[in-house]
Parts: sequence; C-alpha cells; structure tokens
Amino acid sequence: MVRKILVHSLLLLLGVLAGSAVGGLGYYSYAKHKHDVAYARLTSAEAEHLTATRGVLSQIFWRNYLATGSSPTKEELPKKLTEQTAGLERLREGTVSPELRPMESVYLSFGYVRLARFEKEKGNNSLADQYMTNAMAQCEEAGWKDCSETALKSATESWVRGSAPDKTKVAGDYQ
Amino acid sequence: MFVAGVVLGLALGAYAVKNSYGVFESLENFIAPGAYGDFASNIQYRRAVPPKAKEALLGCARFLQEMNTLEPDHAKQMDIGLCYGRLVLLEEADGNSQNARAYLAKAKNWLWEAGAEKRTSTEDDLRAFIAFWDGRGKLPASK
Repeated sequence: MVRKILVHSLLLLLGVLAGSAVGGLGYYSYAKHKHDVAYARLTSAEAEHLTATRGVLSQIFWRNYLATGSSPTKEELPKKLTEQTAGLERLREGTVSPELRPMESVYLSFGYVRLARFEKEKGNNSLADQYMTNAMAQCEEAGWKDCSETALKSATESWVRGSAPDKTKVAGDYQ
Repeated sequence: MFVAGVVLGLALGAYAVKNSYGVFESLENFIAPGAYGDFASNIQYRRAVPPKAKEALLGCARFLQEMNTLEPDHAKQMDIGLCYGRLVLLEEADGNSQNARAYLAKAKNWLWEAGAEKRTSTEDDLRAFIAFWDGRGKLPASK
C-alpha cells in the first residue's frame, strides 16, 4: 500500500514536472512569436527609437514617482529629492534619447526648487540660492517662457499637487 | 497519475510563464505613453516657447505612433490626435497656415481612428473638440 502511494506520487510529480516544462516552453514560444510579430510592424529605426525612448521615459517616471507620486513624508523627502535630481543628472549625461533632454530639465528644475525650499527652511540661504540658480538654468534649457523664481515655484507646486494620488496624499513638502 | 500530472503541469507551466514573460516591458508600455503625453501636452505646451512646445508635441506624437503600431488602442490614438490638434493651434498662432492645415488633417485622421468621428465630423467640431480637451470650450454634440 505504501509502495503504491509512493509510485503514484512519483508519477504525479514527474507528470507535473514534464507538463510544466512543456507548458512553459509552449507559452514562451507563443508569447515570443506574438512579441516578434508586433515588432516586425516597425522599421528597425522605429523599434530602436521606441525601445530607447520608452526606457528613458520609464526611468524618469520612476524617479518622479519615488520623490512625488508615492506621497513621501517631509522627513523622507530631502533624501528622495537628492536621489531624484542625481538620477536625472546622470540620465542627462547619457546620449540615449536627446529628444527627452527638455523633459529631464523640467523635472530637474522642479527637484531643485523643492530642495531650495528645504534649505531655506533650515536657514541655509546660500545653498538654497544655489539650488534655485540650478532650477532656473534647467528651466532656461527646457525653453520655458517664464523662468522667474515665482513662476518656477508656482509650476512646481501645481505639478506636485497634480502628481498626488488624491488631495490627502500630496508629497510632504506641499501638505 | 502521470497523465493527470502532465495536465496539471501544462497549466501551471503556461500560467507561470504568462505571468513572468515580458512583465517589465508591459509595465514600460503602460507607463511611457502617459509620461510623454503629460509632459508634452500639460507642461511644455502650456509653458514653453512655441518651438520647444512644438518639438515636444511632435516627439510625443512620433513616440505614440510607434507605440500604437506595437499595441494599438483608442487612448493612444486620441492622444496622437490631440498632439496634432495642439500643433494646429501653435502653428496658427505663429501664422503658419500651411503647417496648420497639414496638422489639422493628421489630427482628424487620428481622432477618427480613435472613434471620435461623430464629434469631429466638421472642421468647427474638430476645433471645438481640441479646445475642449485644452480646457477652453464645450464638447461638440455627438451626431
């Protein structure tokens, strides 16, 4: 009786293993074929452009999400903003997608405005001024009509509030 | 017992691959169009000088068209139509009527593709439709 149960269990296990391998490989082939057919509709230049642009956009999105859309607290924010601005600066150094440089500039500008606000609150006026100068330089590069301190502060606030999942979950610095 | 195992395994194997194959790419496909659209239409279009705004809208339209070739859907087609619609307004403001007409035709094609043909059948309706999405007017009635 025990032997019979063992044999049946072994057969079931072998069956599951064999089935998983076939099922997994089968679905993988189907999914890969579907993926290849979709990409075949694009020229190689389009596929290359799409892949590069999509990658950079996702990176920008995640950096912004961590510092804004995820509703970080005021205590968490200085570190998150420093990481966001450093990450965006690194992205700008790459030449993967030059068309997205203005986007990197705009979000860098927002990041520097927020960092300037923190430093001002702490009384570090010279560092705050340095951040604001950086913000203005990025804004100029993005080609905005108005890169004054007032315009940048207002644009940053409206972007931070607009990025919140709802009005009660605005990032800590604008609550 | 072996056959029962194989049947169970086939389902498990396929399910496991289905939930892991291309997950990262699917996530990027979901995030990227919205990120570009928001930047071009809500930030650069409203705040940048016209050449920079046009550059962002054209870049966004190009990227969304590529994404639409890969995974067609009405939301992307609508966003492409609205990118061209905003380009019409910028070109008209700059007095480039020839460019404006070319973009108007593209906007119409994409909005019709997105299923908005009843609200954009005439040029006036098309302009009202674009103005509505710009937050500057009423949506034309569906015919």
